[in-house]
Amino acid sequence: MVAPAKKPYRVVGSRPVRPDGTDKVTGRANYGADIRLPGMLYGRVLRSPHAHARIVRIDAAKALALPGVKAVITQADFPAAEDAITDLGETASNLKWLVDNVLASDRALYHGHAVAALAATDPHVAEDALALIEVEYEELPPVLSVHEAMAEGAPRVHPNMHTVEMLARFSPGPRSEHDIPNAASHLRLEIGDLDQGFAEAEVVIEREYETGTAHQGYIEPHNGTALWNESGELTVWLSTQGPFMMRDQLARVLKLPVSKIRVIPMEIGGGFGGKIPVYMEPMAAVLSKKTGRPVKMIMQRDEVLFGTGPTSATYVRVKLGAKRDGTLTAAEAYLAYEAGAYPGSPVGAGGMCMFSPYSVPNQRADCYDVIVNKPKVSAYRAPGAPAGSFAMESTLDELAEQLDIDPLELRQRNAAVDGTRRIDGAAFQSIGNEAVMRAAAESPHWNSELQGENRGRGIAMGYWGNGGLESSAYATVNRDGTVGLVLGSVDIGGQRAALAMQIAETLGIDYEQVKPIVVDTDSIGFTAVTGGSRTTFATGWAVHEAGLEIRRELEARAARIWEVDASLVHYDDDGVIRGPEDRSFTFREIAGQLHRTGGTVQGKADVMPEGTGPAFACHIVDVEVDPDTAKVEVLRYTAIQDVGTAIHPDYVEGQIQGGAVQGIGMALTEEYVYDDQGRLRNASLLDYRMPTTLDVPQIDTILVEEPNPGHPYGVRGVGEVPIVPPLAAVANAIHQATGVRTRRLPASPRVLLEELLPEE
Amino acid sequence: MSSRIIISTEINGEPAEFLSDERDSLLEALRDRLGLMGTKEGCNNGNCGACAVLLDGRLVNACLVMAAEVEGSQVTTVEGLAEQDRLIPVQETFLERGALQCGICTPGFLVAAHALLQEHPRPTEEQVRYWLAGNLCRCTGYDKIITAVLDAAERADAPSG
Amino acid sequence: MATVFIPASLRRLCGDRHSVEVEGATLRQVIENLDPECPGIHALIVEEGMLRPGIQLAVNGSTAATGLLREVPADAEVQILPAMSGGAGEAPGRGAPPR
Ligand code: FES
Ligand code: FES
Repeated sequence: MVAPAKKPYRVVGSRPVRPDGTDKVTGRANYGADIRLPGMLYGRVLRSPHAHARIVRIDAAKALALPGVKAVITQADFPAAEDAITDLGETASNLKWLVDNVLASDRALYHGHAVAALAATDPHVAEDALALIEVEYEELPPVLSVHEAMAEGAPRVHPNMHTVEMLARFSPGPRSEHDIPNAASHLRLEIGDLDQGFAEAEVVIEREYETGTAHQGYIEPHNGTALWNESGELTVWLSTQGPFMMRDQLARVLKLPVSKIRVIPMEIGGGFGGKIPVYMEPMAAVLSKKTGRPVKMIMQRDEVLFGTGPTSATYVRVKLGAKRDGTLTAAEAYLAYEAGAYPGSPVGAGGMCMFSPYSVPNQRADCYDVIVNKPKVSAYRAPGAPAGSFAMESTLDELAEQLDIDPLELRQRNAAVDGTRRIDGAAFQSIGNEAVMRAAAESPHWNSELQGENRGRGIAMGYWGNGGLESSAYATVNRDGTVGLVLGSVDIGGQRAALAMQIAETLGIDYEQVKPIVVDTDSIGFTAVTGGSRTTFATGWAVHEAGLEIRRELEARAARIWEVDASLVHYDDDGVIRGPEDRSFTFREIAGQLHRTGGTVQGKADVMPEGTGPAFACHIVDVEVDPDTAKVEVLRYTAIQDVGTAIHPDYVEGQIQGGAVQGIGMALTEEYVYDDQGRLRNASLLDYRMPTTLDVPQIDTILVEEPNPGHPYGVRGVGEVPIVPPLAAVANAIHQATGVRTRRLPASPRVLLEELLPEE
Repeated sequence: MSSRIIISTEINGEPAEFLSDERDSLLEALRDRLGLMGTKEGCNNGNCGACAVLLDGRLVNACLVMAAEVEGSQVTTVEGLAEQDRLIPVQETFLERGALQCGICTPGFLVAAHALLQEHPRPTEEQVRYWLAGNLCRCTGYDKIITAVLDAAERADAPSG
Repeated sequence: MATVFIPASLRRLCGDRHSVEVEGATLRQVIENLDPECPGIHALIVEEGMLRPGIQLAVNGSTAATGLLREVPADAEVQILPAMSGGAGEAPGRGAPPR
């Protein structure tokens, strides 16, 4: 398919100030933790000190005796959960697992697993009371890595769980023919004939890789304030990426009809996929019901690290077959990703994405979702893709070296193009993969010379599929010629601006004439999460369609005012409505007449658009490795990405820069450190080391714009793919600097030094 | 049980007297006792800078200061940065440069940047990175934050108009 | 005729074929017509008349937003995409409303 020619836009592509900006630079914006209600209680959660233990007894008498403590709950205070599936938009999850993860039933399955919660009149009293809840545990042996978990005879975290084939996970069968301990599911992705592919190969290379557990690391801890009133209506104020997903999960956990639940999304301080599942929100609700008062719960930072979804630690093995000229003939991968205590790792996406930038006729990926005694993972920016791509892109680099081909050249020779089939059989349409590689090859960074000792340059590609899903929007024309735009998509990084810009473009009016607001679940139709790189795309479709409806209505109104046939009236892209005999209305003019000619005009839309455009990225990085300390310094970084159309280039660049730096963190410093009993040893932002201003350089971006034909303004999702290439790009750069291939990330000085020392 | 204490201080230029728990940190006192919600909590541990405020002109993390310690002191929070109805240059450049995404780190960065610019009106990129190293931002990768602060320095320098 | 690509885990139901050609103007019809070729596949994909949560169907590479109601153009390619936890792009959409 041919991409539509880039249109000259008036608003799209400009860089206006975001509508919520002033409140956010003056401290006035209201985030979830900023809610205060009369009579409010403060809730806290008691967490398991063990990675795996039977809960023998919980005695809350002493805690309840403390003045100010109003209630203590355990899972017994929730309605009983049966096995059923709940759909979270980014992940599907069994209800029983969901409830057990919120509050442990008979066993605590990871260090930090919630076992009880309480509410008190004062936060200090709540904290004191936690220490007074007595819990008797019987410790059980923990399973702490995919290798341990899948070994023959390994203790099973869920004794009745058997490996199922992924497609059938939620149906009664079929069980996999190969039952592997703690492997919740196996997914095979396959295209072509692998044996034949390897038979054709002149070079075969096989390598193994591992990555550690990394957390999304949003700066705002999870929070939620619940009020369950006397008529059984539940209102929850919180920070979430998906108010409707939250409502649906609460309905299922609490066995309430959705009409009894109102979720009010406050401003959200980061999510990256981690603020979609329920954690303490149902506890706050039940505590409110028990006490008849609003209950506010805010996680401490260590609880965020203990108890909310990180992304999987992984093991990936890759085998590539190629001709001497570099043509790939076969690609095979084995992926085992930690799911944490309940099934649902993003391993399938890892297998799906890793080979996608390339045209390889014969591919296979075997993906295992593995239960371990660690927190249940949740989505994290392009979930599953970074680890798989780290393995693929590192192996490609080594192949390039073996064949003495420039690493970018090797990638270009094998680039997936329109018509190339992915591993799931689908053929690509209108992709910017080659354009991205070309832009990388022409970039100032790639063409510069890297000088100095102990320095190296690395390059890697990344792919992500991007999301569609359901979005609602409506827009009202105001008398003064402005438009009120009502959204169900929460604004996590400039979405109000990006959506206001699109409807302004559709209506031919100025950006400043649009007043966007984000509303609660009672005030708009179902809207899926802000996540999955879908909001600017799918909610963008919704605001565009709402805008088109306004155009049609205004044409009809102008026809009525002019007393002419509606077919003679046209709403033009410049926002002027033109009729016969040179009659015309500007948007403002007709807006001012609406109330006297039949009332105001609204446009509304609920969409589930298809036509999402996949995203490709190429990152280039220069590093210097200190030969004595093995500290890796990132000297220069360039991220090239096909963004479709950059609606607001600042926010597109910002997504790319933020994702790249998160990827650098995964590559160099970020990792959960467990002791041999499965206790998390670095549950603070001092010890879980995310990049600071001193750890990264400016991140240069090159935006390639290959418009997505599946969107009126050519939008592709941009948010997720930038976290995919950095891991391998950094590892490849370290190799060039030191000669050492880091097959385990993060390449912390401790790990890297071990590799470096024998070299000396 | 802990006891209550009365604290007299000056917050954002106004005298303030409030009842606090003796265990309250300055962050808790600002938010829970005074309702000044602009100062954010990211870690409660001194590691993220979201709670940065000026205490007698010095940049501190409010979660590491006890409320009782601010008796008789002057505190400036993000709510006190703007002058009357005008944003200060670094607030403007944060908006113009897209230096915030989710915005939860922004109050802390603005207070820290303000402290930097008071001390070094024309900082180098290195100085900016050094002064802001105690503030974590997970969304932006820092690029646009650094640019916004450097821009603000230039703007404050330029003849007004 | 639509060409349905069979995921590896279901190929044993289809005599190890990688793809099967069947008639059908909608995905509902395509999946119904697929069942005689791959006995048992319908029950794995459809539950109470709707797509099972966690399964997506794609027509010519685009995930079918309307689920089984999605029209299938002549000579279309249909993919059965397994449940994949992850970003919304690779994850289950909400099923189509019941008829
Ligand atoms: S909340 Fe004070 S430094 Fe993080
Ligand atoms: S903008 Fe979100 S943490 Fe900085």
